[in-house]
Amino acid sequence: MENISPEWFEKVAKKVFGLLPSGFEAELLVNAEKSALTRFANNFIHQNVAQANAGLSLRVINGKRVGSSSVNRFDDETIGWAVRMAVESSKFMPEDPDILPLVGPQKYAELESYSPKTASLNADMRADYVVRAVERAKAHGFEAAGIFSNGESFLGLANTNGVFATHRSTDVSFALTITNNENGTGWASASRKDIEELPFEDVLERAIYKAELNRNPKELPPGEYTVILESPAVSDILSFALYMGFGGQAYLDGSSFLVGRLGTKVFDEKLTLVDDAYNKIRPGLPFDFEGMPRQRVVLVERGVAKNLVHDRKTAMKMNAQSTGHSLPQPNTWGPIPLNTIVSPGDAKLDDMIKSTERGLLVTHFHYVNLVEPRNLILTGMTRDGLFLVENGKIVCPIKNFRFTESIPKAFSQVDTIGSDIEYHGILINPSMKLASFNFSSGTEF
Amino acid sequence: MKDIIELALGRAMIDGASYADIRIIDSVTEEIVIKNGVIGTLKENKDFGAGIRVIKNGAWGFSATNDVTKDGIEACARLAVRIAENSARLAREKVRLAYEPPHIDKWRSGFLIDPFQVPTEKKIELLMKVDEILRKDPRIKVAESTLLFERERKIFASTEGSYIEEEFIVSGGGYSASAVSESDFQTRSYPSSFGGQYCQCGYELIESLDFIGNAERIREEAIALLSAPQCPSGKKDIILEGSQLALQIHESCGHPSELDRVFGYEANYAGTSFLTTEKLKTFRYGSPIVNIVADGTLPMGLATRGYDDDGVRSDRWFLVKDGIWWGYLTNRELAHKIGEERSRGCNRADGWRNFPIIRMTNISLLPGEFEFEDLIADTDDGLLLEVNRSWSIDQRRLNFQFGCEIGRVIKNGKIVGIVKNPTYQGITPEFWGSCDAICNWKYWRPYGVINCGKGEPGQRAEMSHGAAPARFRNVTVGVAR
Repeated sequence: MENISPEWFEKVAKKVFGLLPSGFEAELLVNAEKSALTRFANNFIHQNVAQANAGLSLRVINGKRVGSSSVNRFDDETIGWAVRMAVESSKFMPEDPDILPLVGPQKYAELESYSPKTASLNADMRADYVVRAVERAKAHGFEAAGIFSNGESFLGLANTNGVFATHRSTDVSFALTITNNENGTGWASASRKDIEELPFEDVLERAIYKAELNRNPKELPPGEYTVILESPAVSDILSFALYMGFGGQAYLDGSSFLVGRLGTKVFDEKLTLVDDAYNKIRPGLPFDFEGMPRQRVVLVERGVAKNLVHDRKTAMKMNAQSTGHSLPQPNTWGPIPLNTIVSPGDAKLDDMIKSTERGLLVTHFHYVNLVEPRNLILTGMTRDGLFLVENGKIVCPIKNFRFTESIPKAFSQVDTIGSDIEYHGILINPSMKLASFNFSSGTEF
Repeated sequence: MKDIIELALGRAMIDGASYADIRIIDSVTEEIVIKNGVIGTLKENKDFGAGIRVIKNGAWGFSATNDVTKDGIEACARLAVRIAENSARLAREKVRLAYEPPHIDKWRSGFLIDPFQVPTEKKIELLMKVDEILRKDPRIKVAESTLLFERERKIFASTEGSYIEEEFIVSGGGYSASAVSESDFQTRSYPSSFGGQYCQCGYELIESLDFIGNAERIREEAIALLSAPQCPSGKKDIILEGSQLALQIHESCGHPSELDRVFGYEANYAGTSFLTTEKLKTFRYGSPIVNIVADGTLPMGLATRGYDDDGVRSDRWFLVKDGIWWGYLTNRELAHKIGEERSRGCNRADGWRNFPIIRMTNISLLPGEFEFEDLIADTDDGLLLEVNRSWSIDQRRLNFQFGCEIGRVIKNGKIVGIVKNPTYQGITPEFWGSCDAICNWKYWRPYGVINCGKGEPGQRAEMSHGAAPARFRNVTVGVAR
């Protein structure tokens, strides 16, 4: 990563564009990454890895035909192959009547996503954190498994029409599963751009607390229950609504649960979702993969589906404007929200438990998958701590359930929204209490 | 490359490693997806790099780089050793590798037609013809067709003296048609879902699949599903066709047989396994007709290799024998934990970037004796479930739930109609225990899985599962209703 800089990227772009035959436009994407991960289980490190890579993806446009190629070496011979391959392949591609000219020069906001200290974490430092986690687990008589990882990445986008954009970011993640010897586990995780902000102790305490509670879970019959979903559990299922529902292409394809429902109430009025790459909690990229500046988009306002996200193609087809949400082109998936925030409420998790007469507290879900797209029915398992709540108190741990549930139906009955907002991939969201949630079967643990 | 290899292994040993290996991988991928008559995905990709794995002070270290120069490789080897030193700070026991003699060998997969020599225009022409047939009816709103070809060349060398060169080619493809109404979205795929069928072979696979001959049927079935009744809820006898049965084998037999899962190495991510080691050769996994074989030598299997990424020669053995749990997927590090002196050769990494972990090899249900027509005729009240649409299973691989694209209703030995949104759910040993009929060799095929995820950082692997249609009695169906 030492050699990777905007100046270096500019030189690469010049070299690539200089090899194009006349009449060809081109878009160049460079993604360089250096990352490392220390993995542990049964209280010892069993895998400890580092990798460095840099890749170049080229899209060329010749009239209404497109070609593309990608390589991960930057010598003249390899770059020459990439240009030749993209140009040659474009000759045989079907014409795309809807192809758009490349984006022209744009202005982008500066987003602070890079932490030198995070980038410089080495194996020794990662091991220090892991040793601390394992020692704490051992002190409780438990076994720890998990990961501690860090990385940095550089993204550069340029085209022959004047777009030039770069972004540098870092990431540090800690995930921990604590196993007790009474058929139970606890889990917690966190990810930040800056090691200084990583709530290491909080993750450690939460995972151990859950393992303390989750001893010898009892059996309950499956059925409809009030649920208190902790923040990761909300994200595990609500994120499906984002990428299956709120992209312009999913809507055009007819697979989105929002077909025929834009402008109507699709969730409880307590829910507001805004896609905002400029958020302070976990900023995203200030530009999309066509070079358009990312826009702040209100997806859901007080339960009403307001807007979709668009790239230029879906915007053109729906008589809308690009919101700067394009994935690398060409793609079949279309645009998707990548930095969505669910507005928090003011309740603490304890308040939600105290106000519950009978319900289940869910730590997170496992192996969630789509069953039906138009009703957005999902299935998945509870994991690492499912607890019965009665008369405002956690009564006992429960053996895991499988849920089979329509997400719009479940989130149309939001009882309470928590104040505890947390980042999980494409979603930044709080915990929530839902009035009813369908658990369809159980398992043996 | 020999100088690079000697430099990598030499640097690791000078820096104190007791073992080191290097994998240098050069791969090419071509992927073409046509969606509604235009290019959806186009990938002409070259990827090159090296991963160095070392043991120092009894612990693993691994580093990978795309900078395969002398300077880049030496720095990579040094980093791998430094990482191992830190792994050793929190070791429970020293890594002990099962014995494996050094191998100096070359291995190549077979093919008849090199897919990279087939002109791009021929591939595009095929996909465009399929697209045209699928979109002949305006109710088909999305038609998507795919061809994918991969070639990987790998050198594996270790400080134990192994030097293995391997090359394999993967070919595959398929298509889907999605019909849309005001309130519904239904998809049919051919020859199976999520990209189609894949094998370790050449373009001859594509020519054998008769894409065009099946497109009209797929289009009409997608449209018919819009007005089909919902899958009923309750208990039914079900017959799983081969591609769905392949995924059932993958999720409920393949993953729980991975010995690293059994020993908790995946506890934070993919999960553990209900097939704990005391169950070996005693636990009733399925009915007596259930025989499941792991086979790294299966012709055309996606996981077929000469050797794994431990440098262990590929093997074939029972996971389930006459319904009894019989074996595990192992590597050199963990084989001794179940008393085996040699690894079964299941350690594989996703490209040069990743550390090898235990991955499924090809895992297949051996065929039975039924003719398919006789199996239908022998079923009074059942559903024939075809082509996967949805999958989910718990973290110990017990409670599973699958959805399929189409269910065919069987009444009194005859197929009498179709249902949409079919789902079924069960608990692994109970489900396999209810298997009472398997079709014979005539109906047995290997089905490719190209997107199996495992590990942190995430790794993708590909493997095949051989299966013929099989019947399971009294299964919960129609869960989503």
